[in-house]
Amino acid sequence: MRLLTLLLALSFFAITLLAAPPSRAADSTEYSLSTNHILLAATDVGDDDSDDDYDDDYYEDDEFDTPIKDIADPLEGFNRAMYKFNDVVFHSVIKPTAIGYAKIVPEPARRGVNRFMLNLTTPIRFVNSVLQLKIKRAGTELFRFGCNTTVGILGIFDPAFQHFGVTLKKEDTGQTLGVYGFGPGIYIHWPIIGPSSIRNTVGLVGDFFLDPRSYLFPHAEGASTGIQAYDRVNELSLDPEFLDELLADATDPYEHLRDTWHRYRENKVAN
Amino acid sequence: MRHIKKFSALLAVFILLVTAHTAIAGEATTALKSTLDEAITLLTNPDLKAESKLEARRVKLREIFRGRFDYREMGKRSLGKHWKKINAAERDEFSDLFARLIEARYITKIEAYTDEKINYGGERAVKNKVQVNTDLITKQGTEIPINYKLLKNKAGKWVIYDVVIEGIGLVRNYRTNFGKFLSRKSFADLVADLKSKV
Repeated sequence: MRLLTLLLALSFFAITLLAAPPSRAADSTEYSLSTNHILLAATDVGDDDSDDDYDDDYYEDDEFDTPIKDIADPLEGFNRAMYKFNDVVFHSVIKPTAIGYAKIVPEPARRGVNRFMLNLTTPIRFVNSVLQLKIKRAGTELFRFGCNTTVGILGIFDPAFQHFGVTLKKEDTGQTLGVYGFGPGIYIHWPIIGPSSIRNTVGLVGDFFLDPRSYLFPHAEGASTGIQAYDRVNELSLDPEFLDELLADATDPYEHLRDTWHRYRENKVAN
Repeated sequence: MRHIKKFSALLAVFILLVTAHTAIAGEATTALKSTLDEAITLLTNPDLKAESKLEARRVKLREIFRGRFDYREMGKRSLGKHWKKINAAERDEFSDLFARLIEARYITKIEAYTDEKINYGGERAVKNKVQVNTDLITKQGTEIPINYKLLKNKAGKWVIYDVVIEGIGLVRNYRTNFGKFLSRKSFADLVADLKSKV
């Protein structure tokens, strides 16, 4: 029973990152931030005394920016409270867990787990690619699945990319709903799950049903969520600083996360 | 006959316009690529991978990027309308701090580079600016779309003034955050805040 609760709790952590912005594949290298810096010496940027070089509309979005409307946030009070709660849970439990785990399990193994899980969740990407009429993308997913499941030993390795250069692109139900014209609705910062919207919350339900892991243990609901939670912790262990880096220069981290997440999701819908 | 003449004249103008356009567009990609290639050559040089060489390599890396990234223009755009309210000395100080902030945030990310691939996609030219679209293909086979915005500075050099990663623009991000900061606090407070971060 206690195990079940633990798994359940973990599973919630897990989903935190499901809804979080880009899973950057940067290496989780240890770095020491050197404050050393070179002087502006000898740069040939050629910016001379005048700052009126390109004095157009520099204080607004420029021609390349897609105008994206801010997401409505009528539940801001609730959302901010949840953000604070998640912030504490993330920094006191989830992140330390991921970092501790990374110390025990070597990186190649964690990458293997990550690839295995990505291979297992192919249906989410395949079905959503089809629904979005991204037929080439859907074919790519099929090829990757066939190749990696066999030659790549159940997806632990990625010969589809290593030998054929076929890349993976995340597609999910929230995106599909967006492609079909559903707006995000309002912003919801769920406890543990993190940034979301009405559309994305519905999307998560769709993803749940498309995720084979949801059906693995019909008699122990906690087990599936436990696996999904573990997947998230494993993924976080590959880049544990991601969220902190994202919010490092934010004046209001809550708003920054909300707006960045929203723009990231809208961009996914458009591409 | 006159029609043909007129037509060929139009055609000539059209061809000229099209080629002129692509020539400009090509320049930006070439400029961007030369800088990224230079950085990659540096980062993949096995002679510079030793612990003792890292600091020197980092200095060189900053130099390469300072040659292409116009941090002052980036900082100016990030301050937006507030740029107009500060004097020359303040602009200089801010630009320097901003450059160091961007370096502090990104240099370790760039140093983690090993054998990722960069695919150069299309270009979009609007007025005097060009956006070069690229995809970074990570070792894990994930595509990260990174778009670089460039403009030609007074010296006739293509420089980068914004970077958009997965739809998230660097300048826009900082403009929002600096804007919020300055709506509550003074410019001096912002400078102090930046100093504490670099």
